[in-house]
Order: sequence, then structure tokens, then C-alpha cells
Amino acid sequence: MSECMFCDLMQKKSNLLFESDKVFAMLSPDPSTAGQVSVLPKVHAPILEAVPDFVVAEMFKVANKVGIAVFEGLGAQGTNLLVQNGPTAGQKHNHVILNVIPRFENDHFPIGWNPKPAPEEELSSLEGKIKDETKNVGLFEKEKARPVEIEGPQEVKEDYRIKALRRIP
Amino acid sequence: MSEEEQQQCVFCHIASGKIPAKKVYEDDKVAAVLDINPATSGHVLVIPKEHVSVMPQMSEELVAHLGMISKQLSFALIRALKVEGTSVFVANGVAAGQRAPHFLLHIIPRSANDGVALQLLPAKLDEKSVNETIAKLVPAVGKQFGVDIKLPAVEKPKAKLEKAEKSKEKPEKPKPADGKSELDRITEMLAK
Repeated sequence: MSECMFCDLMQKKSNLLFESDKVFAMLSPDPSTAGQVSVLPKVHAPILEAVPDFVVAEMFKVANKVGIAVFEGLGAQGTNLLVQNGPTAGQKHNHVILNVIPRFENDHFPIGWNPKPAPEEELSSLEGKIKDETKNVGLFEKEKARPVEIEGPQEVKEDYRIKALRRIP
Repeated sequence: MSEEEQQQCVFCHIASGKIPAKKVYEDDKVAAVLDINPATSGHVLVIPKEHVSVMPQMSEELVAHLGMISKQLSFALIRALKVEGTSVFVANGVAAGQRAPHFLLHIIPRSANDGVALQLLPAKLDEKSVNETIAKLVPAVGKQFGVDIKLPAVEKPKAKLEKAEKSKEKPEKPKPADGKSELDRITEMLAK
């Protein structure tokens, strides 16, 4: 048993729906509604920011496919995707989860917020503050390529400089 | 949606810059703007430039891009606004709470007791209907990935669930059901 319930579930392949080398999709062990699916990175990471970009990309791709399955298989009229990033966002477990939640008309699922108009000056000052931190957004961390196995001796391309060197006694 | 309706889509115009907005990030695929009717201060909408209504209409490439951008923007909001967390939220379909005819991904800065209901409270579910749902969902997921999936062994962390239900009595301060020390560390990490 590790400290993380989700790492344990993944190791036992409990609740497994689909797994790739990077992510795991499972039936939620503590669903808020029937058919809730949790998409998780296989590496233990408590928050989204600790998950490599290319793994986040795969989490979203898998969650979208699960979402299509929710529409087609359950006849759902909607889906919610939700990451609770940090305890103030309602995060209950120490492993980051992208939840896929099936939704039906008038299901009274308690989710949402009350939008309030924001004053122009406030938005302008926020825009400046946030822009200062978004300069590196869009630069993605790539997965390291696995070492390529080389078969047989490598041919070295000779150029005139090498030939010229051989001529020196 | 007809071409004419697309031409009238407010969010297409915001993404392309025809309608001015407080843009905090932009690339060739998406634009991120401040919501003028936010859930909390600093609520950001990530808008694909291509007109799509829901995520299932997107290419895999766009879905992947959206995910990575959301992660990075979430981090940017945490640093810029010194909040302790974010909710990354998508509603596909009116039944899921979608209001706009254009796909939007919400990144909402979160603080304790901010009144945003994105908690996912534990619910007492009817076991029979849950099992029926799973029986329908499993083959549909398998079809999407092109694999046969067997009904998985389902595990429920009972003790933890009971604890979580007790904490439901005070929904204002959801107590973490487990890993509290690590969650505290997360809070500290995010606060930095």
C-alpha cells in the first residue's frame, strides 16, 4: 500500500476502463453520479502543474473519448469535465484527476456558480497582472525520445576534410 | 450550425479579435480572455478559434493543445493572483450547463468559501442503476478505443466514503477525506 489510494487502485488495475503507457481511465471509486469516470496520470502527481505537458495532452484526449462514449453509450445529453486543482477547489485526493461526468436534462446535479459582472477597471488591472505570467504559455515540454537501437556498424560519411587529414603523414 | 449563424457567433469574433476583450493569451489555435461575468476574480475562458460547439467535435490535436494550454494558464493564474487553486471546467451541452453556442473551457481561480459550487459531493447512489450504467458504459468506452473491455472489478473505499459523507454536513469547508498532510503541502506549493 502506498500513501495514494489512486496509485494503489491503478497498480491493482481496479475499476479499469482503459490504460495507455501514460494515463489510466477508471470508474470513479467515489462517484457523485452514476457513470462518473476518472482520468489520471500514471505517474503520481498531486496537482495539474506537476504533470508533464505531454501527459496532460493525453489525459484530455482520453477524457474526450470517454465523453463521446458517455454520449453514445448512456444517451447522455451532456458531459462535464472537471479538474479540482487544489483543496480550495474541492480536491479530496492527493492524485490529480480529470473527471468526466455524465449529465441529463433536469438531473439537478449540484454544479455551477453565480456569474457577477466585473467592473472594467478591475478587468484591466487583472489583464496586466495575468499577462505578466503567461509569457511562457505555449512552450510545451516534449516527451523524451527513447534511445534508438542501432544495428550493425555505422557508416561514417566521409567528406573531403577527413580525406585531407589522411594525406598528412 | 449554418455559416450565417457562425458569422454571428460572439465567441468566434472575440477569438479573432473583431470584438475587443481582455486577452491574456493567444496562439494560432486558441485565445484566452477574462470572463466579463466571472465566477471569481480572474476567471479565464479558453476559446478555440475554430467554431466548435462541444469537445467531441474537435480534432485530437486541438483537444491535446487545449489541455496543455489549460494546465499552463492555470499555473499562470495561481502565480499572478496568489490563489491556492483553480477549477478547470468544461460543460458540453445545455444539460451540462453550457450557455454559449461556442465551446468554452473555464479556468476559475479558487479560494476558500468563494461560493463556487464545483465540489463533487459524495452521493448515495442506487447500486442497481449504477451497475446498469456501468454495463452500458464499458462497451461504449471500448468502442472508442478500439478494444474489448471486460467489466472491471469495482472497488469503493468505504471507510473513506463515510468520512466524506460526514464532512458533507459542513459543505462550506469540505474536509479532505485522506492524504491531508499532502493536501496541505499542495496548498503551500500553490501558494508559492
